[in-house]
Amino acid sequence: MADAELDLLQGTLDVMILKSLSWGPMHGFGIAKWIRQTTDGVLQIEDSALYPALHRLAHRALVDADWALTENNRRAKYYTLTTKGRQQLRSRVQAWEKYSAAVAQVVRATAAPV
Amino acid sequence: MSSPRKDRGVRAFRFWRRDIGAEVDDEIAFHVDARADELVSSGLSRDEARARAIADFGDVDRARRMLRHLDEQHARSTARREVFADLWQDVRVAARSLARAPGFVAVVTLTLALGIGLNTAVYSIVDAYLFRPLPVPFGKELVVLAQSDPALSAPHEMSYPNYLDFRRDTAVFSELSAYTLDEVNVSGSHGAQRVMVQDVTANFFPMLGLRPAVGRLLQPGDDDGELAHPYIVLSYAFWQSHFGGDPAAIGDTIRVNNHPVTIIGVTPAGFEGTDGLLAIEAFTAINQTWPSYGAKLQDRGSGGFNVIGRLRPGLSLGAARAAVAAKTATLEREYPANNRGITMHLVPETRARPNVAISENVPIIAAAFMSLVLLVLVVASANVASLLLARATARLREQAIRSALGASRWRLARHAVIECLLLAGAGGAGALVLANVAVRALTTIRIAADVPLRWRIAVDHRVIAFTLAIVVGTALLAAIAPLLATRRTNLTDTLKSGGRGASGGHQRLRGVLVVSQLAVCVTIVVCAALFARSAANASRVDPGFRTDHILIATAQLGTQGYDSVRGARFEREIERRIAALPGVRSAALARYTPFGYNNDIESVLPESPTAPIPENGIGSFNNVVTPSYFETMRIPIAEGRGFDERDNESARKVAIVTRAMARRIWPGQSALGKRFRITKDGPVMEIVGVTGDIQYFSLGETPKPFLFRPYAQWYHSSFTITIHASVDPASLAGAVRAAVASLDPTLPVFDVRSFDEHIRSGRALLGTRLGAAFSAAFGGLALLLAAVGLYGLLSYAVAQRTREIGIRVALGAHTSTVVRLVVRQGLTMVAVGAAIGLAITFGVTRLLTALLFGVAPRDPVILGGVVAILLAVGVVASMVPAVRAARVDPLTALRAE
Repeated sequence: MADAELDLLQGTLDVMILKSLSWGPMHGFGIAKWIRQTTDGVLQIEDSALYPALHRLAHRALVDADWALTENNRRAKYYTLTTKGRQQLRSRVQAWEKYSAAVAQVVRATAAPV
Repeated sequence: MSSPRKDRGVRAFRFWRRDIGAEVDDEIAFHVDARADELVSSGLSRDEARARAIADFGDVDRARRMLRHLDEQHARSTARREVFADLWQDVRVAARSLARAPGFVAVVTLTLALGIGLNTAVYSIVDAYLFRPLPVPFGKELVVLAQSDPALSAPHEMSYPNYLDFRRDTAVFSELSAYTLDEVNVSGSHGAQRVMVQDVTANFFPMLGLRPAVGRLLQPGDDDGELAHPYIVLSYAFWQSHFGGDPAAIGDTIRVNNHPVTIIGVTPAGFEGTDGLLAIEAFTAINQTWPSYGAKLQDRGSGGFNVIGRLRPGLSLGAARAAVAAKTATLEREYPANNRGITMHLVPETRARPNVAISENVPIIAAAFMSLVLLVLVVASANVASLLLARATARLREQAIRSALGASRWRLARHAVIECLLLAGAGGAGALVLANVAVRALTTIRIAADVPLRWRIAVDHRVIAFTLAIVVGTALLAAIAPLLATRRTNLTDTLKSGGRGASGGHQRLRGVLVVSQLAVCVTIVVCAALFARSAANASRVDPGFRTDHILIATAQLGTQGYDSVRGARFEREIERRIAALPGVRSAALARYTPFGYNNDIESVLPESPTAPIPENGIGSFNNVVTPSYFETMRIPIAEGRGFDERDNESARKVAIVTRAMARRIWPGQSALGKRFRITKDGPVMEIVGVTGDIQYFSLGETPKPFLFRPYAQWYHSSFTITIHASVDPASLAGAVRAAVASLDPTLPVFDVRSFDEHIRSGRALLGTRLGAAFSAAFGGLALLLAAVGLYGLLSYAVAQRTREIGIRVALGAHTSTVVRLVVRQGLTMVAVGAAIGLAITFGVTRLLTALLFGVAPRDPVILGGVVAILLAVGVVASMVPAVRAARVDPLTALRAE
């Protein structure tokens, strides 16, 4: 059961990162924290897995990366969703909803196969 | 310690790396700190919080390495993309700006295509004959072993016992093989042919590493015991042309010099033996065919064996030479009678072409020829540079603006180089097309030689690589001149002065270059015209006999085992049968053919000369003919009679001489009844007839003394049938072959061709015709190059003088005045060039006298004509820039101030 969860997680990590940035620029720690809180700690994402995904998104120009100061005056690398990243998020969310609806129908099905 | 330069490079690289590394470290550090802060606020101690934060993060080192790797990879590919994007942008800009000047592009492309194409064509010949290894697996490792000795200092063949000793006692060869070349008569169900065979030791094919196309090749053991393995291997080309490529031919028995041999296999396509010039058609093993070598294989005193081998892998040529020298010293000591003073030469096979005796000079000749054509390319490039310079000058203002707008000098330079590369690339593509055409034209040259020649040139990948190198070199060369010119100009000054800036400092040098091109052009075009006239005249030269409607065909009875009685009977019969063929007016046999490759000089020793005769007699070409020869060749009998049935073996020896002979020995008297010998103790011959004079050795020569003897009194086992036809002589070839086959189907007839063809493509005219073709091609090239050079120079001058011309026009100068101004400058150069060219021509054409017919080296019509052509070209080349100058708008030209 735990393995299946993990696979899902890997496949959707990009979507979660993009989603977390849809409210505005955020640094890596903020993204990790948001995911942890939003999922109530159900999805345990190791931070060391988050960053490579972030950098890959940056290289694919789905997010921009820039250094800026935090509220506490610390230097941190902030990630911003690009237009391309926003489009990507939209299409991935649609695909995800279709997919999860389909899976939900199957697992809640009451009719036996004919 | 590393050098400072290297140090600097490494530091720069590290700096870039540390940048990425530091960012990754900072990002991770921030994450850990922020997480620790969070944990502290939830009640953990500072140290505990930090440890937890690091543990939560996961493998920090691994993450750091991974992130660095990802970012560096990305940085690299981004940098690469940017470079290509820049380059592509430059290419587009260059292509657009070239597209706006199609005339310029056409002239430059054509010039480069001709210059590069010439180089490509010449290189493909040099490559085929000198550089390209034989098309066999071990081609690169082959070496040729040859001997020189006090009797003959040029490296040549050796004796078979010496070869065997080298093969047995020197450990430096993987294989060492000996061979001789021979022409044999091959006959069988496919007909009878004269075939060039390579008679080889049985290790020949293993030495080359060659695999058969069909059947098997000769293998060790196939040369054991005289005539024990009478096998023959056919070349692929011969198998195709005479056996239709039929695999069933393997195992057939055919006859070589009328002795049975078995076809055992076929060599792969493209293999033509190992001789540098001759195309081999079949291979036999030494001592397995007739005639036998007899005692020659045991006799250290007789030579004649070519030796080729393959060095042991990894062995240097130097080491092999030392081993060969040591063995040579031993051979000299052990067999002083035959080996005194011998020296052995071991050279790579590619260095032994076309023949090891003369190969030493071949690379020098090739290098000289390559330098000459490279010089042509340099001139072409100089002309292109001149055009580019004119273009650059006209665009100085544009460049200055681009520079002012921030385009770096490097960018401007790169732009110029890319423009040149595009032009040279187009030129190179054109060059490959031209070279292909040229090479195809070269390979279709028909050479009427009496042996099959290797004549295989191709534009292949090596040639294309060479062309590519030339293209890049040319582009850089042509780009440098305009670059230097614009570099020397201060761009700011240029902006101020209105784009007039480039200095004309080396204008004089370029003037000299153009004038010399014009001069060389005159010489080459005059030569071309002289050759062309000669070729036309030569076809009208009367050599003293008929050349039209004559067919010649040769056969050799000796190796077929005919003795003189059977041979003489055969020769009488074949003449009778051929004379009776429809379409044949008359037929005769002769030992030699005028203007042929085989000739014989006899010394005529007269009994009672009336003119002083050298002690050794009068050296004279001669021929041995049947009675009908004079009628067939229409050689008039001026005095006395021709040969007839009376002049047989048992009668007294008779001869017929030409008028030139009679005049030389018995001036003022009749030669009839006079007697002479041709060797001091030979039979006395009596002159029974005197013919008109004939040219014999070279076409157009002043007739020299010549002698005819009757065939019936001087039997010879080879003969050329000479036929006077009432129809197209070439159409009789089949009937002649059939007539010979009806008498002896094993006897091949070869060198069958019309006399016109024999003159055109044989020794007589081949040189003149090739001279005409080549000098016409080179003359056209030279003319075009000179025209482009002149055009480029004048265009540049006009571009530079735009402002001056503008002022003149503003002050009321008429269009025609401006045109005249430019054209005068052009024609002055043409006049100077033509004068110098004529002076050179007078020197050069004297050397050509031997190849000219009926035209004086200083023929005034030709000289005048060439000068007129040059003037016309000069006017055309000057008119374009002149008209451009005349169109100068004074307002535009002056507003730039």
